[in-house]
Amino acid sequence: METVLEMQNICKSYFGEGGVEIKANDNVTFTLKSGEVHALLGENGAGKSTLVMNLCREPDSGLVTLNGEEVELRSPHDALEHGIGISYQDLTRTLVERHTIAENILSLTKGFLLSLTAVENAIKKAFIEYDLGELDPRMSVWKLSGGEKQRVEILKALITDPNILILDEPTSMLTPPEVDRLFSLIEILKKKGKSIVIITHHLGEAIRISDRITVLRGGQVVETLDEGRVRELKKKPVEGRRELAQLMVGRDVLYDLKRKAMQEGPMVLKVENLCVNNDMGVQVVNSLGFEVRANHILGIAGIAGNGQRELVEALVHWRDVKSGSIFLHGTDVTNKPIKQIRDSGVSLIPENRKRALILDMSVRENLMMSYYMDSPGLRIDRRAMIEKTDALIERFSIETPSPLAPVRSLSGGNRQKVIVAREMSRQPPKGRPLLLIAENPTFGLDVATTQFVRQELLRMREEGAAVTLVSSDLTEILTLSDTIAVLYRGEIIGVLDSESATREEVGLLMGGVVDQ
Amino acid sequence: MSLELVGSSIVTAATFFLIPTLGEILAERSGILNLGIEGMIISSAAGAFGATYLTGSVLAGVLAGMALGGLLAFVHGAISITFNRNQVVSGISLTIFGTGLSGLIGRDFVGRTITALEPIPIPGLSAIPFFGPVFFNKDLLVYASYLLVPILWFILFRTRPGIVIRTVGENPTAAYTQGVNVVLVRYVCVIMGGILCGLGGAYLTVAWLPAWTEGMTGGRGWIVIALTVVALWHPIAAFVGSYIFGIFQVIQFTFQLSGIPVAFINMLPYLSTITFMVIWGILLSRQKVKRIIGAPSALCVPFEKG
Amino acid sequence: MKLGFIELEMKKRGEKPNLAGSLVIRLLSFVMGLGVVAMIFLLQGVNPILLYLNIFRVAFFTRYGLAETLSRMIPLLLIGLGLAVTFRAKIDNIGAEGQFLVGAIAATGIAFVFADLPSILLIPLMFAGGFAMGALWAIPVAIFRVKGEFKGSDVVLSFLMVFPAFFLIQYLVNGPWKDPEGWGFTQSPLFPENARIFQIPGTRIHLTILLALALTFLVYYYLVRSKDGLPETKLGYEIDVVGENPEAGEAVGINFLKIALVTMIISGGFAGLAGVGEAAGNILRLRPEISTGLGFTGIVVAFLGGLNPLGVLASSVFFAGILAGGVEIQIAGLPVTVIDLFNGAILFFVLLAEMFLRYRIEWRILK
Repeated sequence: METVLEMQNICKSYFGEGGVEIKANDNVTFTLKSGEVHALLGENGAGKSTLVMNLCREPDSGLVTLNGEEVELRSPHDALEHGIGISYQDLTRTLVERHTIAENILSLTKGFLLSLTAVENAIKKAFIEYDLGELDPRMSVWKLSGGEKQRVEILKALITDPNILILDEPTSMLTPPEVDRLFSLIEILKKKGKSIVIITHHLGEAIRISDRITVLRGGQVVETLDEGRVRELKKKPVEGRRELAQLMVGRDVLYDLKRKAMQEGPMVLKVENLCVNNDMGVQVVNSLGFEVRANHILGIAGIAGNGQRELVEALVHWRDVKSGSIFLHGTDVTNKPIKQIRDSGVSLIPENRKRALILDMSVRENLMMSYYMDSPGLRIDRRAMIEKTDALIERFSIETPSPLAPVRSLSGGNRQKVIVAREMSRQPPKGRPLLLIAENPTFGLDVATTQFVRQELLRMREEGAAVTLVSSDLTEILTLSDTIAVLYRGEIIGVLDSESATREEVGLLMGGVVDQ
Repeated sequence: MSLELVGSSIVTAATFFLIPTLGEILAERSGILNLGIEGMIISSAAGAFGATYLTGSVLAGVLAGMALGGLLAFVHGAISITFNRNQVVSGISLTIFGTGLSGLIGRDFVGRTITALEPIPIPGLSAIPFFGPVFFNKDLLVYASYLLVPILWFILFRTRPGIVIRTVGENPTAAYTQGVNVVLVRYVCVIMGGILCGLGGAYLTVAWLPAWTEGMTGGRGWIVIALTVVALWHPIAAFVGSYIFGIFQVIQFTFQLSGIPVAFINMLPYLSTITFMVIWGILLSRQKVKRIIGAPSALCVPFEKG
Repeated sequence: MKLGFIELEMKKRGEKPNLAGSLVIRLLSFVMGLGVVAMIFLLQGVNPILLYLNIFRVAFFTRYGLAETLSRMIPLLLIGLGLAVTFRAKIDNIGAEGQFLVGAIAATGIAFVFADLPSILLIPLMFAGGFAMGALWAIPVAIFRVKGEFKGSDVVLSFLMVFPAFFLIQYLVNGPWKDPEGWGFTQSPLFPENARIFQIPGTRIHLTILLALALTFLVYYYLVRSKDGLPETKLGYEIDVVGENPEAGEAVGINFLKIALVTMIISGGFAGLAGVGEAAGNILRLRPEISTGLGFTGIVVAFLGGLNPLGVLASSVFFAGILAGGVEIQIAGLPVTVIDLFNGAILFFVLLAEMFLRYRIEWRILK
């Protein structure tokens, strides 16, 4: 098979504060053969997306060759011209929520006039051709679920009929049956002669679907496993995952967490008949009810887009509760002012980190956000704040050149540590247990930080906190939770004890499949 | 005062608002907030008047006004797009600068006269009772404004450039990753917006009140910004809104004989604009409608590649 | 970006430039603003270098000019100071002009209604009234900024509110407050003796300057100054947070509306104080021409000063100098509105300067 894409000695760096150079791609060489599926595997932050983005901009150095010819690809436009189609990871940056599916796929409108009917018909045909399910092209994107949006994004890339298809984390929002269909589609595309790069951090998926696997770590290529090696891995997937984990992070098990058996404490959070609307006025949390007790982690599992965000926002009153009640230590706190809820002993690690961090302020000032009001009077007690923030930096191993460095200069993992440090160390009044709400707390983080955060959550649980973990990461839910509640379309469709729950069971529930 | 005369003055005042509003709608639809409207309009007004005075040609004046508006918009565009700076402050700078510039450009032309653009009655249509003389016995620029509304609507909603512009304004990364040159689109929209503001300025001094005095726009350029919001960034609504605001402008004259002190009558257009805008702004904030209608999502947000 | 055979690239700076570097960059933006306007002057047949030198000479090196500079500095400093506070919270108060005017109105009203009070009571009362009226004019803007759902809501509302203030003065000095001995000039009578703020004899520098300087240092110390990376007060911290990321602030319980109101009240109040000063300390009566765009110049003063009270102090001196030397502009045959050209151009360059504080340009010659 000939090589259809070659990326040689690619270097791409970013500059952090203090003149520190971060080598996102450090002399990376990657090749793609015609008609193969090549997985680009690595933990979050290893440089996978960055590598592929070099097909849409000039890297600092290195050579890109397409079909044997050297090319300079300066923008996504150039990439498209050369037959490269990319399905992106972050859908908030590539889909216009307000527009319909048809309006989102710009490549279908050619010429001057916009004929939406023609576009819509083309989309309908394409959905069928690629077996991506049937979605009405006239539907506004904001109405779609996470999985449906993912399918639109993939369709967007496919519909230009590229020779090289790059899928960046295409399964993050898909249910297991949807993943199966996607993989079947990939097989079909392979037969048609397309060459596919799939970027993922899921070991099992990489083994399952690819012909070759390139493992990236810390910006460098660890190894490229050829067809033979990958066939071996496919035969023994469990050992295969161990091998890949070893390559990816240097250990054969990604995470090492132990959850001690604990006696449940008093009730901390009680939610009754909660109904919450989303930004469009549609009810997405439907009469939800659950309890969380001290020394306990309730894992609310679900694929993104089933009401988790609205639920979390309602609990801390970033969003109004339409009806229903939220009780904290027995007191009704429904729709009470944000400050009052926080002061009653509620901490939140939100998924949307932009709402938790001020990038251009220092680490110290960010850590202070939960504590500055404790100073008496109108002034800030500087000494107390410095003591407190220095202690937090140390305790949570936040890597920063100085407490005064802006948070923007911190890596993604360390930024999350700032949020975690600030929220976990709060002391509720009257010695009551803390309610800690963690929303996808390890999303996009590297393995070491993920390990750290999960360990801290377990520690909080042991020290008496009541933890509500909202996550779409099945492994995370299974590892950390005592009780698992599965959220689907705004309702809890199953509650399982984590000791007896199986991965398959939870996975099916997450996909909306209720047995019997 | 005859009803027809009132109607005709409303059309005149409305046209002065309408043309720049259409321009600002175009700019904001691509995501760029240009608050320098007052500066662009008043500079163009001075420039248009001066050019007409010097050459005797109204066409030269109109072109000069449009060019000046486009040039000033380009400066704001460079700062907002290429340099990615704070668009609000840049727009304010443009207003201040443009106001000063107008004084400089116009200083030789204060008190001069020109032959203004004459109204041209449209045969047939101008004979319709009431509507005829009011709408169809006006000058060419007013007729141009009638055409601009459906043209802008068509471009925005029925053509490929239009959906590209709207995508750039909602989510520029989404456009960029599909091969759109976001920078170019934004520049074009901002400059076109400036050209239309320039046309509005030219209209003031070459058709409406053919004269130049310092500060003659009296801050009415700011009303255009309010209008863009009131029109929900839609050309047809802009037409309706401009005429409502045109009524506010003209209504003060009906009070002139009522004995209310002149100062309060002068306040009326501004007070009515404020009231209208405040009510509208608060209505817009009701959660249900937020994501369906409202400003382009990427308005005023600097665009970073990658 | 390629320009011919030179390639330019913007690279993020390793470290923030130190104080000296920031000062140089800001000074540079002032100079570049003057430079652009100089080119425009050239096109109009005016020699800019001569003009600038004359302005500078008159403003700082003549007795009359220096006194004028200090006199013009007072309102610019007060207005710029208040605006710096709101701009730090990213709330755009463009209506300081109107808040200034209603402050002057308040001073006039109180001066005449309470004319029997001794100075020691009357003048503070006038300042209090001016502050209150200015704050009142600013409060709706704060509310609309928080509740109104569009970008620039504060800008448009604050600006539109300038007009009613202006027309209100017109009404008052043409009607109930008209000067009976004014020979038809639209103005109020001269303020009674005990309502006048003490002026340094022979100049128009009035004691309000002390108030302005005191407030400058108070705002600096309590809201802006930071030691060990931390501001002095909770309010100072909250303003910074809101200016950077109001959503993150709300997430920890900082009430955006409260901060908007506090900053706007300060800003409107200070502008009102400036109005009182001008009315009772400078021209000693109320006239529609009492403000020559001071509220708008104040915007540029605030930005050029880096939104830092000490910087605002320095930049208010610069702009006061331009205003004082402004008579030279008229001598050169240019309209006085040319000052707006300076303001606008300088503000543009201040904006650009901020970019140079974050990035530097690297250039290399291509083969």
